[in-house]
Amino acid sequence: MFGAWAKRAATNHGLRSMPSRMASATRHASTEATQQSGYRTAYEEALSLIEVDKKERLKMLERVDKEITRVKKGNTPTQTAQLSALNAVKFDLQVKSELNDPEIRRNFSNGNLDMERPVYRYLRQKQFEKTPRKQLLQRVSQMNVTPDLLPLGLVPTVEVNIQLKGQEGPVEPGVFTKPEQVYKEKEKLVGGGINYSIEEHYNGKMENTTIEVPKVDVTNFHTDKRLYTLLFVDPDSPDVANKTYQQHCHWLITNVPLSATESTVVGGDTVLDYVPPHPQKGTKYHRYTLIAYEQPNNGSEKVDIKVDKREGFDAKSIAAQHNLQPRGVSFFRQVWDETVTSIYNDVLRIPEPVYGKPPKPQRYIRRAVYIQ
Amino acid sequence: MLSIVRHSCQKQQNLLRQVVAVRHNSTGGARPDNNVQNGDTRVELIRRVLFESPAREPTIKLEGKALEEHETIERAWKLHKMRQREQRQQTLERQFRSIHLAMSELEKASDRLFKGAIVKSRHITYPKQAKIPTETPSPQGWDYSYKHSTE
Repeated sequence: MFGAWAKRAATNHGLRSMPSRMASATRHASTEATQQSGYRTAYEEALSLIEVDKKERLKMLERVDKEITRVKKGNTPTQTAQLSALNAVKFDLQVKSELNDPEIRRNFSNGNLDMERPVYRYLRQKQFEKTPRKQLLQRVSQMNVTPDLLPLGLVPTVEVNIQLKGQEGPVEPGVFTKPEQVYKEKEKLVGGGINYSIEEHYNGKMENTTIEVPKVDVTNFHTDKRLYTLLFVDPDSPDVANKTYQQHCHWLITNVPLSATESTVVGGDTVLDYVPPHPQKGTKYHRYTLIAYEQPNNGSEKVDIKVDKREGFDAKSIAAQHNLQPRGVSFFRQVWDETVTSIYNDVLRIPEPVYGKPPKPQRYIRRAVYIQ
Repeated sequence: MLSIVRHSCQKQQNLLRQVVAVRHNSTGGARPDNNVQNGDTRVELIRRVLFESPAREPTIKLEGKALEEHETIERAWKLHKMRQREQRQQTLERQFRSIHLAMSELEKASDRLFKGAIVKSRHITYPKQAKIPTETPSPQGWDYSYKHSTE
């Protein structure tokens, strides 16, 4: 019975393949078939309703715009509050007028979005809040990055994507990466130099071996340019003197201008140059964390951080000292590999340390040899 | 497609047959039988029904243009319902506002009339012409020329 009905529906709309037989049998018919009969399909009705709603919202938007210009001219004590409320309403109208448009949704799902338009920003933000952020927060709390480096209850508002060379997508937070991946991808020395001159060392041996910092993309949702500070820190660096772990800062750049349209990390002042991650032999895995801080006063103030040493770093105190608000985070884990030896030899020029457990004290005096 | 439906129906029917069998074999109390002699014990059966139901693929899988059209229609329908809801809400608010304004004016104008306007009628009313439901219609049929008495 059901098969006969599906067959009848299929013949009405011409030949269709098997999987979409069900699709064609749903309530809305194809537009060509109904154009002659004068009836409108559900899809056409949907489009016209969306159009009507859009027109209404745009008319409302005009009124809101007029109101904004009027409020801007006057100078009342409630001006800032009124303006912020009106701008929120304006953003809402701009988004909702285009949110139901199938073309825009199609563009967004294809990844073809223009961050200047409020709709795309809104959709991107919702997408971030739904999946990647939840996973990030899970991983961050599970791997104890939050109590160690970040304040409890931090809710990231920007998405930090670390792009490693040789990897297709951005680094998933918390996954294990190989030291050579991170080392190799920092192949090019961009701008400011590191203290060690690797070009001399590799002259003639490897042609393109220069150290490249990872391509970091901080997807944010504000149109204005704000200044960010990026900190790449390893909280699991061994501290032998205190028999504990300490934070080791691998990279610190300040005053990086970022906006919704320009989200790649370019420029800014380098406080500490990039050092590739080098998890030491004998230690457990290290968590290498990249934190994006927003500079004070909504990212408008320039910040001058002076750090004398990389070891014994304290991310929380530096952030508190310079009033930096953590906005985004991403991290990956690494474990010792033979590549780390080459990093120590070539890049850091330090003899490679090997860690192990301290020797156990002998509790009881025992005869080592059996005496007859 | 029909064979899949038949197969899953059979699985459900098998489980149901087991339920019936256990019911016939069950002891008087609510305690489940710990021996596996009669086949599945009741608790095990419940567990199987709850947690080991066969994994089913979604029957309709839309792709591409059809999916886009479907989603647009769904959004438009939700939009339509939202607009209807908001329209109703606006109407109610307008009505309330006008009633509120009128009552404020009345309060200022006359206390007696105001109190009278607030109170609802306390008379108990019952429809005189209420028809008792019957199983069959009347042999005379429906009386189209009936007019209620106005007194």
